[in-house]
This record gives sequence, structure tokens and C-alpha cells, in this order.
Amino acid sequence: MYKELKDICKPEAFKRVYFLYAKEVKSFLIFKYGNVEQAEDITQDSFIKLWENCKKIPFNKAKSYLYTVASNAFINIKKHEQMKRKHQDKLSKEGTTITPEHILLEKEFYQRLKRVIDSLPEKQREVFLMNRIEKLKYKEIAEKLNISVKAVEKRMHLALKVIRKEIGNI
Amino acid sequence: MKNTDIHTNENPFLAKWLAGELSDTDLQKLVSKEDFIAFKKIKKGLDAYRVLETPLEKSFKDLETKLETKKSEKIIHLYKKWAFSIAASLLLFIGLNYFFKSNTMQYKTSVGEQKTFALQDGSEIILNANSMISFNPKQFKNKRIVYLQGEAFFKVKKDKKPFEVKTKNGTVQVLGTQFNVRSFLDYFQVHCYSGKVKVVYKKGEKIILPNQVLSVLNGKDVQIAQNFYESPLWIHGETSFKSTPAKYVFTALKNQYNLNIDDSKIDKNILFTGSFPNNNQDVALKIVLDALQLKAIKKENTIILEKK
Repeated sequence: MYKELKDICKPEAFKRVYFLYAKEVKSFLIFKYGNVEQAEDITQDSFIKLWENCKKIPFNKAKSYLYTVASNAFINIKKHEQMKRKHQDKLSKEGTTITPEHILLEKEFYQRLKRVIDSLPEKQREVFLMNRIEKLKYKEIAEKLNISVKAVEKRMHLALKVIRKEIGNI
Repeated sequence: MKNTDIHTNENPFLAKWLAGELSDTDLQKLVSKEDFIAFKKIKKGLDAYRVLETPLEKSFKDLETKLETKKSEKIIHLYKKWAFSIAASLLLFIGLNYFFKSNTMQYKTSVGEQKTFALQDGSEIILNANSMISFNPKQFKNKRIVYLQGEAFFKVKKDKKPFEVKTKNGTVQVLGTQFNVRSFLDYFQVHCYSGKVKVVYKKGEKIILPNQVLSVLNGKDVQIAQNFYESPLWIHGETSFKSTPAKYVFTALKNQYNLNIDDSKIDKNILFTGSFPNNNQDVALKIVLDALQLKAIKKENTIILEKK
């Protein structure tokens, strides 16, 4: 039984590795590299690579393998984006909006945000999670909860106001 | 905030902004600068929230789906490469014929480079670093023969005419199949992935079947091993050896990286089993040196190897 868990090529063992490290790798990408947009994709790709190489990676090396692959993937993306930007800068002038890349997300800020979301009033929290985690549009949420789209929007709006108030100092 | 009234019949602009129905510029008009920055950060935090708090069961299911589609995508991807290469190599063929009026077509890769191309019969070749394939296009129509120095992976189109890969160390004959050939120095290795492959070398010949790897060192030391990978590791960025004398491993390192290796002070025949990445010189060197229990001293541009 122990031997089977060591062999990542077995589906149950691979799943276990996923449940052990997936969130950690995602956190790593988000907080160390500040990359949210691609954190999910890079993490999934890293596990795909792990699966493809499962014969050669023992269970106790899986974690460092995942971190290495994820880091490399991120570095490659950055290099590619740098090259793209070099060309684009010559063509256009950017507006005055703050681009998301320049916003650093601290782990501590995120923990506060999580706490605030968890303590939102039930009605707002429900709508909030359906939109943010399940990725449902306001129209779909309205249909599911049997309320109007306006009501959904109002709850989201209030939730955001509460979050802003509770999150305090940026 | 500008309007701290919580009971509101005000326009739920924050909800609209979050959904992307309101632009950043428009939001800036409705809230203070401080609040705008705060909301931008909150938005990013919410994206992170989704990535981190989605139940693992769901994202694992997504991963499983991705793994399934990847299997079928791989085949499509190679066909795309093949189609592009056919166009490219046709142009190259015409161009070279016109300019050089020579009878030989050549494909060459430099250190660390890989190339994919197709032949007139539709067979596909992926050429590893520092290698060369040459053949006579006119004669190829009658006899499918190519010459290889180095390493390449072949996907041969089935045809009544046999397909031959000739190297300094031996010949590989097939009818239509997938196989990998490695030939440098006096090291000859053929890995059959599908179909049947006949390998002819100095001291004899052998037919190998899928998942069999035939290695011939120095024309005589023959080894047959099993290997169940579906395609060569080097296509996926890794070079791998099993119980192979170090000198061949050093050559492989030099094929991927621009290195000068002085191995005169060590036993070049110690066996190496393992693999190194093709895109990270430091890691690759470390892996090989650690496995062989060697240390490296850098002198100008040369790496001198010594026992640890």
C-alpha cells in the first residue's frame, strides 16, 4: 500500500499529490511572482508535466519538481511579454489607468480580504461566491436565486462597499 | 467614500465595474483616488481568491479533462508542424536546387537546436541538436535512403519501398514506422516506437520491436533494453542515457550547449544513467557531474573534469 502511494503514475497517488500541493503552487505564483491571471494555467501545466514524467519522479521529489516547472514557466512568459512590450511601446501610448501588473498583492492583505469575505452578511456572501468562485454572471445568479438582476447587482455593490470599508489601510 | 450611505438606491456601479461593464476610467470619476486604488487591489485579491479557494475537486476534474485532450492534441500538433514543414521544405528544395544545382539535400542543426521537416514521401523527421540529415531528392523517389549524423526521430510513411537510415555506425531499415536513431562517435542506438525496425551494424544485424532499444558501442557491444516512453525525451527537452559510458554523455552535452570539456584526467568509461535538461546548462552539468562523482574546474573557456 505504501509502495503504491510512492508511485505517482498510479491515479490515486497522483490525485493525492495534487491535493497536497496544488494550492501551495498557486499561492507561490500569486504571492511570490504577483501573477494571478496565469497562476491557474501554469499550475495545471506543471501538474500535466508531472504526470507525463511520473515514471521518473519519486513522491518525495514531486513538490520541488512542481515548484521548478512552475517558476520556469512563469519566467518564460515574462520573457515573452517583455519582447512583446518592446514592440508595442513603439506603436502606442498607454492611457493613465493603473495596470494590474503593478499592483502587488501581499499575503497578509489577502488573508484580511479572505476574512472579510467570510464574514459578509449571508445574502451578500452567497451572491458574491457564486459570482467569484463559480464564475456565474449576474443574470445566471438572478435566475438561480429567483431574484432580479438589479437585486443581484445591489448585493454585489454593497458587498464591495463593505469589503472596502473593512479592509482598512491598503 | 464620497457617499457613505449604505441603504442605497444608488446605481450599483461597483457591481458593474467588477463585471467589466464599467471601465476603470469611469470608476475613477465616481470614487476618490484612494478608493480607486483600494478597489483595484481588492479586484486583484478577488481574482486570487477564486484561484485559491476553488474546491480542489473541481480543479482536479479540469486537470483530468486537460490530460485527456492533451493526448489527442499531441497528434494534431505534430500534423500541423508537418504541414508547415512540408511547405517550408518544398520552398527550400526548390531554392537549393536552383541556387546550388547540387544533388544533395541537407538539413543541419546547430548546437542546442532542433528542427522538424518532412520528406517528399510524407515521412517526418525531427532532428536533434548538432546533427545532420542528407539525401538525394531525385534518387529518393526510387529508393528511400537518408544519411544521418547525430540523432533524429523518424515517422516514416508506410510504403512498399523500404526506408533506410544510413549512419557511420550502421543502418536502420523500416517499412513504415516510428523510431529514434542516435549515432555519434562509435555510439549507435535505435529505439523502436512502432512497427518493426531492422538494424544492421558492424558485427551483425537485429530486428527490434516496439519499446525495444538496441545499443551498439564500438561496433560490437550490443545491448537490448526495454523502454516504454511514447516518444524520445529529447523532443520534450531532456537528454537521457542508460548505463552509458561517460564519454558519450559528454558529447551529448556538447551537442546541446557550447562547452569545451577536457575529460583527459578521468575514466571516460564510467557508466552514466540519468537525464539532463536541454535548456539549463548549469543544472545539466550538475546532474551529470554529481552522478559520475566528478568535479569541474573552469579554466578560461574549458571545463576540466576531475574525480571528486
